[in-house]
Amino acid sequence: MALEQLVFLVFALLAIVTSLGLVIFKDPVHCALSLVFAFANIAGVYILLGAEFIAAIQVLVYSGAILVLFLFVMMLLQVRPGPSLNRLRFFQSGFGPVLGVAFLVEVVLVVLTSGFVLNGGNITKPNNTQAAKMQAGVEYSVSVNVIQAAGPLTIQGKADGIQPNTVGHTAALGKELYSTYLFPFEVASIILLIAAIGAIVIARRSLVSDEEEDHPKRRGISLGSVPAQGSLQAFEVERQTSQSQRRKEAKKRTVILKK
Amino acid sequence: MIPVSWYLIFSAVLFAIGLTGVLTRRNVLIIFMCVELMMNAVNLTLVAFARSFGTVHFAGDAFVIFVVTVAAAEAAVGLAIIVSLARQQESIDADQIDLLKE
Repeated sequence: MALEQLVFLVFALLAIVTSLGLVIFKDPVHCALSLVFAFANIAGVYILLGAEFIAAIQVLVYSGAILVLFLFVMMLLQVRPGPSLNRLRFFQSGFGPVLGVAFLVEVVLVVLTSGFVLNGGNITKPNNTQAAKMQAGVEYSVSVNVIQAAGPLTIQGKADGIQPNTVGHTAALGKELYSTYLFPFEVASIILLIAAIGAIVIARRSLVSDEEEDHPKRRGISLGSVPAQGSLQAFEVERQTSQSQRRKEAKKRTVILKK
Repeated sequence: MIPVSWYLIFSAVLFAIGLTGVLTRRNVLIIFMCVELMMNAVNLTLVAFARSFGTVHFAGDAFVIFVVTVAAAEAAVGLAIIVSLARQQESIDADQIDLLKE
């Protein structure tokens, strides 16, 4: 077995084991940490594929940004560990894994029985042995005009040897992204902008209303100095707090009634 | 050389694990993380196919970039929804979130 295959198997097994931890662990923080580990291993698999830029994106965006966002939300919400798998209802603990395994068997059967994968990934010419030989395994060599003045450059994206003086996967992908996929690229930036604004709006609205309910201070009454007993101000503060208390109880009651 | 089918089976395993997690877990945050794992599996498939089919085409890689973008946007908006939901209900159990039922 080649060294490359061995490295792939190590990465794949570690990723599978740690992502199983995502399903099994009770504490959400443990789940997030095992998912970080799985993402890092998937980044290793990307490097084996010769996609260094996507591996970097994987580490930066997924295990860097998104998982940190998850951990922050967990800290914010003080999430308690949920019930273990065997204490769930049968529909969830029983059917979930069964459906997952059924899906896995289906896809593996498709992969193993379809000719296009075994023929080196060539759908259009399944019997072309020359093409199959050329494209067997994961190997690519691309000619892209990266710099017009320098003329066509050949890109060797093999995983088993990084050659100096050749343009890597990143340059070719950048050229593709900024020429062929320029419009989708701009649309993606607008999507990110809208998502950022939307996230702020959604997460902020309830915060403001909750705070206003709780603190009479926000309604123009200062709590800095304790008002004298029996004064008009003290009466006002008491009235406000009891009002908000009553409103809360009413809200709870309606929730219970709905249930 | 690693056969493409290895990559495909690996990503199928990851996708199935994510699917199982979505079906079995009740914590909304963990369901969300499982969805991220499933997206990762699909990304891996895209890159593997891009390497095996085309030699000049970077369509798969470019698509992975867009999928990552959308995943980041989805995580931001989804987590904001979870935060505001947790403030209202004091629970992020998927079974107890039934605001739209009535």
